[in-house]
Amino acid sequence: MRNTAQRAQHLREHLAQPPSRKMEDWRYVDFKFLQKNEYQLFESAQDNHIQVIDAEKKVVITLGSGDAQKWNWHGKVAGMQVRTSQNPQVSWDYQNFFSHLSKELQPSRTEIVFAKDFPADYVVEWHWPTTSTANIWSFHHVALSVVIEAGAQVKIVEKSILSAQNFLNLEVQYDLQKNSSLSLIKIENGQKEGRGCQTVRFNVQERAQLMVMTATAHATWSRHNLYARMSGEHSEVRFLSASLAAQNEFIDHHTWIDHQVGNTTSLQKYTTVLTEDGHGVFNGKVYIHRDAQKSAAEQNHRTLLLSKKAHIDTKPELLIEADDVKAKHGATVGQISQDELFYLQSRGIDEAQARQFLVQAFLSRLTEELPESLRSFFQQELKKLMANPGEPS
Amino acid sequence: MLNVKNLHVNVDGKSVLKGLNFSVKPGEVHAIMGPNGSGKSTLSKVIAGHPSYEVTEGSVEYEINFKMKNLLELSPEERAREGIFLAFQYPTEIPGLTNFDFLKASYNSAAKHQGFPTMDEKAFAEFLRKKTQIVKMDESFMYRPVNLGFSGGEKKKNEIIQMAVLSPRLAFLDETDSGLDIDALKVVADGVNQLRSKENAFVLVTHYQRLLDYIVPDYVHILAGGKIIRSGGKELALQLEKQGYEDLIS
Repeated sequence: MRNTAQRAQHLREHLAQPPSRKMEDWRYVDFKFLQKNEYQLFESAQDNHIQVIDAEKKVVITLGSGDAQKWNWHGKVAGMQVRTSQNPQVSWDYQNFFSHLSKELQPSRTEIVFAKDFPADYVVEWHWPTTSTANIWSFHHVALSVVIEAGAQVKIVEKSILSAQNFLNLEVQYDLQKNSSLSLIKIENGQKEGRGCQTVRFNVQERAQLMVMTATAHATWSRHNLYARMSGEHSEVRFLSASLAAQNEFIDHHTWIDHQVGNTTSLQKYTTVLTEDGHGVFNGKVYIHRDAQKSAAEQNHRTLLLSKKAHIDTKPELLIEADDVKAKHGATVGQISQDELFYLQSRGIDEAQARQFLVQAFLSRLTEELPESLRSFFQQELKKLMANPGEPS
Repeated sequence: MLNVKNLHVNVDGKSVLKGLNFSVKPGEVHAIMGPNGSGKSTLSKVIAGHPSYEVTEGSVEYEINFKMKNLLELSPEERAREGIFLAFQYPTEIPGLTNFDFLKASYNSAAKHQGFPTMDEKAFAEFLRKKTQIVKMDESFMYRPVNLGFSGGEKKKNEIIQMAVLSPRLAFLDETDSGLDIDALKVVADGVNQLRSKENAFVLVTHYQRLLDYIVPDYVHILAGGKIIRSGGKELALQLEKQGYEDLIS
């Protein structure tokens, strides 16, 4: 295995050659920041911790960083284990510039396994690390594999803060085995000069159900790549997302849902709110393979532009080879409705608060898609995250 | 409490109100009737402060702290906090925002402005529950998105609940009777009657005399061609019902 110095060297060399216009799919994104600031590999000596809080029906996972392999358990829960694999079975499909780093930076891999007897009413809460010493541009790399075994039902809430001068690079692979279900809520809170890229791959087997809800706001640069391979019949995938970008902020969503077999169903509902000179990208793909008959796919991206300088690039895309499918896609871009604004103001709510209400209302429509047990939690988180939508202009 | 003098209003460059005069005192109920396109809804919207309506001439004065002040200088939210309310002809749907959150924010902003204590979630839930009873509406509607999926009657009842929450001094009800069946009309009218007092006033904007059987006005005005062309008591509405607008206007 490479030592720390070798890994740091590899990171430097890799970041020195960011994707060119040719390499980037469709909409080129500016990677100049990688050369402007010299990111250093952050490797903490901190261990990983797993704390079981039975009173709150919660398992809290706090990850160290880099190559930390020691896991400290505080309490016990049925049906959950953590192991480290030196020869991980990782799918390297759907590769990108940032996920590619895992091979070199983290060749061994932690695997978290949830079995059928994991309590379905517990929530697993993960905190991704990004704290580092001041005045250093730090690059955090975390790679993990998660296995949801046959019949297991798991709810995970991931919280990450993209703090100033940090880049958080996550690469996670989920394997959803037969009849399993995963509800994954990803909450990303950005700060000025906080950047990050998440690459999450899902392998969804027969009759497995996957729901991912992403909420992100105020990152200087944030990219989310979600890839789902639907490899088992009667599987279901839902990707939902609420994003907000304001002055000097950029939010970029790439999705790829691969219907490889028949009778599979997918839904993508993305919403983006952009204010000041905020920039958003949505590049969503659904691919229905030739043999994936009787599949259904729906893809929808809605944008609310609160400023003349705000900018959205959106491309919902369907690639269909099968001839007996239901598929639809669409994108809308709009502004705050003056009628809605006046209605709220005519009830004594001042304009700034009325705008904030309408932004939150636009984003929170997605919560209808969430399981009842996670809905009010997510609404509260969304309220906090979107509390400051920026100045209209 | 309200003095409208020689009011001229343009909408999208087109002149709609052309020298309207109108005044209201506390405790009064006025009905404004008129044919389609006569400017009835425009008057309500101008009083509430809709930005699309341009006042080109005239004045609107409203009593605030015992002094008549220029209402047109106030923003829509400032007018609402000073006790002006408009029950919309077509209440707006707002997906994603619950009635509860909306009305709690409304109530608290008015309370803050008027120097009353604000309410927390629990206190407001109880307060709102009582208000829903005024129009016999199920409490569960308060936890649904504003007007979304409501029937025409439920939307109008929701407007009356909002009015009850804000206890306005001067309320304009813009065609609140339209789209209501007779039972719903009675419930809504009964709700309005419960809110009537010596301190507040109501202006009913309507096409039909029917509503006035249930909310009896002190004055009836006929608005035509952007002006009030005739005023009288309740009998004027009955006369209008018999003869139609054309006879009275010509």
